Amino acid sequence: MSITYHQDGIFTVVSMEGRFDAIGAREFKKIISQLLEMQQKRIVLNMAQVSFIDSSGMGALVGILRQMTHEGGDMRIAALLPEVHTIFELTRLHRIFDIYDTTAAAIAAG
Amino acid sequence: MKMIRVLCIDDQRVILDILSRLLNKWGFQVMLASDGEVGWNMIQTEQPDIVLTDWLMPGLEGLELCRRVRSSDFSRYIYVILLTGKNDKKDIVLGMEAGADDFISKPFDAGELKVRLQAATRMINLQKQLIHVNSELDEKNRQLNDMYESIKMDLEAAAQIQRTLLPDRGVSLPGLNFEWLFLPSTFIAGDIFNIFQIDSNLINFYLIDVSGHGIPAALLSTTLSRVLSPHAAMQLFRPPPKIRNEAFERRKNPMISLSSPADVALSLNKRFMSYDEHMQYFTMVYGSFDLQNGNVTITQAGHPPPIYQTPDGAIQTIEGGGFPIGLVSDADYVDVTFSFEPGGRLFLYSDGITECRNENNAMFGDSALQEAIQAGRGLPLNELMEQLQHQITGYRGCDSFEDDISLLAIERTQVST
Repeated sequence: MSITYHQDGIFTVVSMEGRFDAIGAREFKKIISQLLEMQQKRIVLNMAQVSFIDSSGMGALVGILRQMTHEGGDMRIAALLPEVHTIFELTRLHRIFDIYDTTAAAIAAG
Repeated sequence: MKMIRVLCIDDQRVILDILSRLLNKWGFQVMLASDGEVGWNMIQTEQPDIVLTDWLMPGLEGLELCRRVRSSDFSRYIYVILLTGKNDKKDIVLGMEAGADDFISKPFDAGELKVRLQAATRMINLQKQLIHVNSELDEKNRQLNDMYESIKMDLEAAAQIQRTLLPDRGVSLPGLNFEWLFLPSTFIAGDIFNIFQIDSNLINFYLIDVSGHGIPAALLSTTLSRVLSPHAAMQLFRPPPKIRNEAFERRKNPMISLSSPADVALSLNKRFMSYDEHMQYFTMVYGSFDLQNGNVTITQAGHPPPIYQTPDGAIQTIEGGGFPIGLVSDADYVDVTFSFEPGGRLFLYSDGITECRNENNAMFGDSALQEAIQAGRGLPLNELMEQLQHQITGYRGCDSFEDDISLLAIERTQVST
């Protein structure tokens, strides 16, 4: 998985591309930890290019969400592809994340 | 570096004398042979590094000697230089075809001979280094292979142990038949399931899929199999009558008072909450069949919804349920109760089946599984399992899977006992 990020107002938009599996999860956790160290605590995950997520990926997302909440941060998820959204629903985890249709909507939600 | 050993072969004594003197001076170890046959014998017994041989000799000629060297199986490369009065291109080609590495024309120049032998020495030393490196590589490879074999043996043993945790197909339960499918993606799986009788009223069953797969997942799935063993479940679902101070016992072991699948999920969620970086968690369906009223009570924790096939063949999915276990500390779980009609079938499965991908990266999917179940309605459960395995393996195109595959099929027998 390749991960890039850019600043959009007060939010850091983290764009992911590829397979969100155990290897992707490791990369993801590394990048988010760097952002948290830089005090970037408002994050939008742009997942429009993530075509696959497995249990390790879901675990990483929940772990980071927990860490963000603990540190008073704000993590939003945007632009889930239908097949990935299905996994969120299947595991019922869509209920614990703030999920938006687009990155713009996630930022605009205030 | 050891001395380079050169065998000089020439039928002219005077040439051998000159060669011997020069080569000794240049630091080579010199052996001499006065004709082709003697030379060939020495090549076989001594295996020199370099053979410096005259082309034209009575008896065995240099060219034929060269061919013999090349067609023999020596443990290392022997560098052959032909000494020749022939300078024709055709002769050179002939010599190269016979396997000569270099040519020196007669009468030879000492300076030229020296540089040619130096070139040969470089080649031989490189080759010796290569042999050395190769033998080190061979040794490393052998060690790796040994290690792999030992890990593989351990994993195979672990896989066998894991299989003993699965329900025994020979066991008959009152009112229910069951069959299962279990295809780990590696030797050992993060999937685990069981079905067992608690008492004359209750039969419990579950199917669990631990996140990830391989050894880390299998460690947790094995632990869970123990935690949820029939013996442990008996304690959960039927508090032993001997307890005098029940309130005290409950405080001591809060799981003892559990009575429904949702309570089991809740309790497991507390016990297995993951706080470390590995974020290991699992999804689960836990169910309980009440023989008296024919009801099944099920709780789901982030798991693919079980499939219920009614006696008339209609397919229903049992929706609802809570988060995977170990992720969300204040998670709630609910019980769903439905009537398990005689002739009905219930299927618990891991997402390894529905998310199994073919060579075009397309998933097997929910509907394919439901259709397969429907198509096999007339088959006994064991044949249905065989057919499903055949179908999934066929879809995948091979029998190695990205994720563990497991399915537990339960059928309520026609005549209820």
